[in-house]
Amino acid sequence: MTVVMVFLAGMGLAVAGAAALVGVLRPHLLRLLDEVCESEARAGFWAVTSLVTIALVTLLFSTLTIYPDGDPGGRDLFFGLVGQLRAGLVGLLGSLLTVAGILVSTIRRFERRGLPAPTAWRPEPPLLPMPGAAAGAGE
Amino acid sequence: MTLAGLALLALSLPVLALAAVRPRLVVVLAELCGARFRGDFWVAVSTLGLLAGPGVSALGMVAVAPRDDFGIGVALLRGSAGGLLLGLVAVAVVVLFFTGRLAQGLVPPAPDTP
Repeated sequence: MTVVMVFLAGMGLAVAGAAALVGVLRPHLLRLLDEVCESEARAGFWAVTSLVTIALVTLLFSTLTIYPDGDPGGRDLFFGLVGQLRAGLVGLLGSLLTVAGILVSTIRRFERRGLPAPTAWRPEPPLLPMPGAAAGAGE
Repeated sequence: MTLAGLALLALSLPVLALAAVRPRLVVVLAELCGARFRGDFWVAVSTLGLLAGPGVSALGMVAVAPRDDFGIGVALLRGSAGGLLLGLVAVAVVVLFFTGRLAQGLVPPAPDTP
């Protein structure tokens, strides 16, 4: 196998992993974004943008590996492939965590918007009647 | 052959991303801008950005790539993916900007609305 074939195989494996993750994540992300964005159009846009970004970052990271120059042997190609897959997975996890972080902050903002406005503090009335007040009432 | 294949892959990346993002972008920008024709302008700008950004980035990466077919092909691919990612971030910023304007009630109604 040539370096080009191994490189393309590594990139294909990394992108296939990203595609599987996108397939698993998509319905859940769409349902969540539908609620948070309060509009189906916005939810659809953000879902597609997030998923394309995850796939792209995985692909980008999987191209960052450097294979040895010249005519590398099978051992060099294997370790190059392992490095390429590792880089792709790092990109996949990093982009997934970034999307999750942005989603958490959006959900927090959404929940804060749904809470009732805070009211001014007022002292609560005592639970038991004051002893002096009860004696006064009896006279 | 190697260079042609990798260049084709680099070229197809923005096209595939546009095919996925553009239909949703049309709908969301029409909603956020208050009228379809206003949204269409920004869709056209975004489309051009998403095509030109990866191209510029890919050609820029070729300038610093190793001088063999494989190195140039990988640089094209890397530059295309990086430029596309930056373009997507720019489009997301545009959508966020219009979402903010809509939330503040700054978007005028469409002219044909009674």
